[in-house]
Amino acid sequence: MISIVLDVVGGALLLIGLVLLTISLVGVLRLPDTYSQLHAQGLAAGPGVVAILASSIATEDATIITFALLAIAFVALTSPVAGHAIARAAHRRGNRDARGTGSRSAGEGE
Amino acid sequence: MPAMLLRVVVLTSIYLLALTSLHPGDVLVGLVLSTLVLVVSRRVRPRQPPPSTLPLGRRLAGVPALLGGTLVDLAVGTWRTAACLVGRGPASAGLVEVPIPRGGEVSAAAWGVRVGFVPDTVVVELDEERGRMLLHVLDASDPEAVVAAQLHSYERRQRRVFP
Repeated sequence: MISIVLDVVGGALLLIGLVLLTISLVGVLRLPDTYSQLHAQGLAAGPGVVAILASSIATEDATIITFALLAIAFVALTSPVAGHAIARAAHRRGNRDARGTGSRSAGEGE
Repeated sequence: MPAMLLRVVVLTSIYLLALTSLHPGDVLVGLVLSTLVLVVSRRVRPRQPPPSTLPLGRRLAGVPALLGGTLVDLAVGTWRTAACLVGRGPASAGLVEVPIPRGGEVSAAAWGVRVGFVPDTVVVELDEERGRMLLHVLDASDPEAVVAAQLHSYERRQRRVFP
């Protein structure tokens, strides 16, 4: 019984992860500016990957689940830093978003 | 000292989990490596005086609220972002400056990671010395509401662990 529940939950998490990755890809291709694309990228690099890794509970293998949990922890720590680095670089280059906000002279605030 | 020991234990645990081994030799190597990493990192970057005198036990008691709250923020932010990307796109996205309490580097870094992990907010600049964080949000039509939500989230989720 538990095995069936884990299979269903794992399958659902895998489906959610794949849907999020697909939406993220569409967003990166559709959106016009760096900042907005970072939101779409964050959807894949954060919850998308986490959902796919979490679907490993369906394997019922302690080793695989442990590795997946470790990977989730590392993703949770590194994904925001990567997004921040790109956004900061865009801001310092004076990139504007679609509404025209976000420009700044180089070196300001340092 | 207890915080240092806790860090050594956590790093060693991660090392052993990655090895999937509890062999005494691996435990010893893990302890030595963790201690070395911590000692070297403290020498490379001198430690600032702790901003808070909260006892470690009280801070650890706030971890479930921090993790649970971040998961709730993640779910809500994921839903908003996905709905926005599938729909008409971000019509009112923009930059919002959020004042943050001057709690030191660790507090600011924790704030940045917590907020940056949620897809509907991107941390653009984080300046703990001036006490400000520049965010790009999908809905910047009401900047004051964004600031209030961020400060409320800090009070409820983070303040007990990383004040």
